[in-house]
Amino acid sequence: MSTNLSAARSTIRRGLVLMTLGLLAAAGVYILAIYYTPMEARQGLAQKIFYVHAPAAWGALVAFSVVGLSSILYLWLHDERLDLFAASSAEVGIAFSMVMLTTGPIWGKTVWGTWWTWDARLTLTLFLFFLFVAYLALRAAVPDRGERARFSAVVGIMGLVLVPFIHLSVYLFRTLHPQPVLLKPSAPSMPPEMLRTLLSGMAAFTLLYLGFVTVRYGIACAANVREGSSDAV
Amino acid sequence: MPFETPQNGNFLVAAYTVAAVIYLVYAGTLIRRARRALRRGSGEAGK
Repeated sequence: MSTNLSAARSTIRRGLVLMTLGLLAAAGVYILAIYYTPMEARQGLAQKIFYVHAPAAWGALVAFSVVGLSSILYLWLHDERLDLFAASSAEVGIAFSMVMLTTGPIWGKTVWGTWWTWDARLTLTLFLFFLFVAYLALRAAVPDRGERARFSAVVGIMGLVLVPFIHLSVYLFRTLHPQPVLLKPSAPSMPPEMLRTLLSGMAAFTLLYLGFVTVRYGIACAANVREGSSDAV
Repeated sequence: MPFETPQNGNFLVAAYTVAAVIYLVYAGTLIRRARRALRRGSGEAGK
């Protein structure tokens, strides 16, 4: 048991280092966005919200995809670590979603003239957020570890199904949301300074995701070892 | 047709502040939970 605990502790320590680096990188993206990128003439300074909003959306969709993939692997391999990793990624995905769902409307208010519109991309993203809030609520409500892992894996896979649909929603439906500038078949459609800042944002927020999820996974492993030892008593 | 660049820097400040607060608060809760896990872990390993 102490071996598992010491592994969890070293995971937490590694995660804390990654998280610190991720936060520093995110601060660097703020500086790049404010001082390095040019101001967009039609949207003004509010366009720079994009450098925080788009990487947060990227982080959220990566996190929720990881939940789905880990859930599929859990149902196949029955390795409890995959369930713990999925749960950790879901919580981190909710943090990224909160950034995405707050910065988006702030940009929308000044550019669209409204905080929110019920178009396909926005509605599906909000639905995905609620799905993973329900995922965590479900985990808190089921005491049996095996049942908890199985039930939540099914919800996690449903979330994974939604992710590509959200990405393609701007092509499938008539929507106010801008079309992708990066993850699309043709070349990126933006000036090099903007593209560099966006790519830096994606890299920084991926690092931040890795930091958050590693710490959270370490905490989950430590709690799991304690839960297991109290079950044995 | 000529257009005027909108003066909306306050929206940028609001969005960046909200994002920073969410990330920092979440990082803070993770650090608090991690410290508790590390403390309990070292206590149990010592027994």
